[in-house]
Amino acid sequence: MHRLEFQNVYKRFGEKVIAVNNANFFVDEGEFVTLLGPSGCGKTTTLRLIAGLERTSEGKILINDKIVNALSPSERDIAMVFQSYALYPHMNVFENIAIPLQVRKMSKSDVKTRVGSIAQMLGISNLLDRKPRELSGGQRQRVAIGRALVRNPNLFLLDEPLANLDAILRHRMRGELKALFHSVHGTTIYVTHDQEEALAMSDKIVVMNYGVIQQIGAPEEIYKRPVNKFVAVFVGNPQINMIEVKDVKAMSKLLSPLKLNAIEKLSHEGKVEIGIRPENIVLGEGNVIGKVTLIEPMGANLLVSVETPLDSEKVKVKLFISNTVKILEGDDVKFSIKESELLFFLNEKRVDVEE
Amino acid sequence: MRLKRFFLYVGVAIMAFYCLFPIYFLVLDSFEPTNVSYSSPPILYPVAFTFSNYIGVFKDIPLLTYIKNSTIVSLSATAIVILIGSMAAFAVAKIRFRGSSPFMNFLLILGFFPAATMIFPLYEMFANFHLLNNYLSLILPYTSVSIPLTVWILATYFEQIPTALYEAARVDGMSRFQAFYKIILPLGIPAVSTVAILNFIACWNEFILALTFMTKENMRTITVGISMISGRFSYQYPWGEIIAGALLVTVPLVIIIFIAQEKIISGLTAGAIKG
Repeated sequence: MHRLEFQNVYKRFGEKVIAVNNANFFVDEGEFVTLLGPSGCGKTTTLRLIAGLERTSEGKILINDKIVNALSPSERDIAMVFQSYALYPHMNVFENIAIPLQVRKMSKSDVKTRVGSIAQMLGISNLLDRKPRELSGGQRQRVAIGRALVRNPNLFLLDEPLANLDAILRHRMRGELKALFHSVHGTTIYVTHDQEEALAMSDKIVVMNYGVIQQIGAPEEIYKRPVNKFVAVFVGNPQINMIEVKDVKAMSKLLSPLKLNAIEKLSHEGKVEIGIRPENIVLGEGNVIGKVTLIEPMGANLLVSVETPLDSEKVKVKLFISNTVKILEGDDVKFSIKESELLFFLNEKRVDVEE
Repeated sequence: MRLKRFFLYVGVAIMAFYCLFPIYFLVLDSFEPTNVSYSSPPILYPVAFTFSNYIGVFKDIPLLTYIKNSTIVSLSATAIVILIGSMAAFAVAKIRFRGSSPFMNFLLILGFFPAATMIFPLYEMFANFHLLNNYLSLILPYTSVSIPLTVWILATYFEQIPTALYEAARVDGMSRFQAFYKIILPLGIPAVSTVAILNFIACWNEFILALTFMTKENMRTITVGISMISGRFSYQYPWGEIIAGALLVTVPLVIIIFIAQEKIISGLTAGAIKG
């Protein structure tokens, strides 16, 4: 059983900085959980708290249902891949991967077989006698992962391991990493600021901002049912279109009368915003008229920015169309939206709108 | 460009001459009979050749005993300084603990005390403990004088070793001490060995404490020993023998240090510090 639980965990640096503010979450056996958020949101601090590299200011951290607050990193039996990889420069690849086993007094022959099989799994068998500085970025990363995989720890912690790779390698490693850690049934906690990575790899995502956990859920849930504006805007590329409702009547082109009524009521309570994901806007038919201001080709699709005089002022939305459609900047177009996919926010919190 | 180069070489030649001529003159004198080396004006080229100065050194003083004493004292002091200094520097650089910066400031203040001011109190103390004419009477003060600067230099160097390496070592299951001697110390070798060499030279050359605390002939260190060479007649100072003695103990030291440095440089390029 490899479980992790955070109970009301706080981490303060000095008087003013709260890096982690009342964190509560759990990670179940074999789960691949991502801590996602912009830089400075506390995700790396959270990871370091799990590793024991930082001490909690308050609250409990449990590994396998035992409180580990007072344990040092070496006593927690966890493996970690650092963003910088932190390979030992004076040791060759074999020694780098072998050292966690040697420290645990495993016999020489066992170490050799274990390192050998891990190296084979990662495709670095031919590099075993090289020093880290003789390796490419991708190879170093594999060695760092090898050093984590070589033993069977309670938890695997990965701190933005893909951040230093070039784009092509990063995309390839995404799938590979996920498959790798699933194949060893590893309970994995992964830190990233890249929402695409988080959506692609995770069983569960923990979204953080300013030290506060915003939402915990499966990737689809995070994407389709974000709890607030921050999560909605942070997750999804290109970003969700947010339209602030200043004049409810002006929304009549977008919304059915029933929805319009509901929003009318909401608007008395505070600021109402409508979120529309780009893929939920259909170009061609519909009763909204606009002008194309920008076309960004993205391979199979074009990302089209359309300006429409919805409100007293002009509103700009982004949407996708297939690259087979002939369209030019400056064209007048019509579009409609999938009303069932709309997200409504009241004072930055998402609300379900009753019809 | 060529002219620039020419002046560069001329400049270097002048500097080299300025630095090396005294050494040349020492070597020259050490192989000359006394009447030649005393001639005025001095003869700057070899005219006569004799080993008598070198033979005289071994006859007049127990040179090998002095070398043994100096080696024991310098090596022991250096070893203790490096052992304690590197661990203290590691603690300051990589383990966060309360009071680490006051501790460093305190060390700096300690470094300001001139060693010579401690002679009398130390003499009293060692006399009471019956430590005079004991290797400890030099090893102890040399160690305590050297540790502050050693900690400063090594801590600065260790701080530049990425902390992620230390953290990785801890996560990989190493204790603090294991992380120190398996990771941080090997990566700090260039600084550690430089500090060790400097400490060794300082101990080897130290004069005042060695003169004061080691009064027995068979406990003297080499620097004091050579200064004690006296002529067979009064008014005749045996420069030739003093010079020969100085060369005899300096040249091996220089060679050892050159070899050690070679090792350090090759270790540097093979190990590579960059993570």
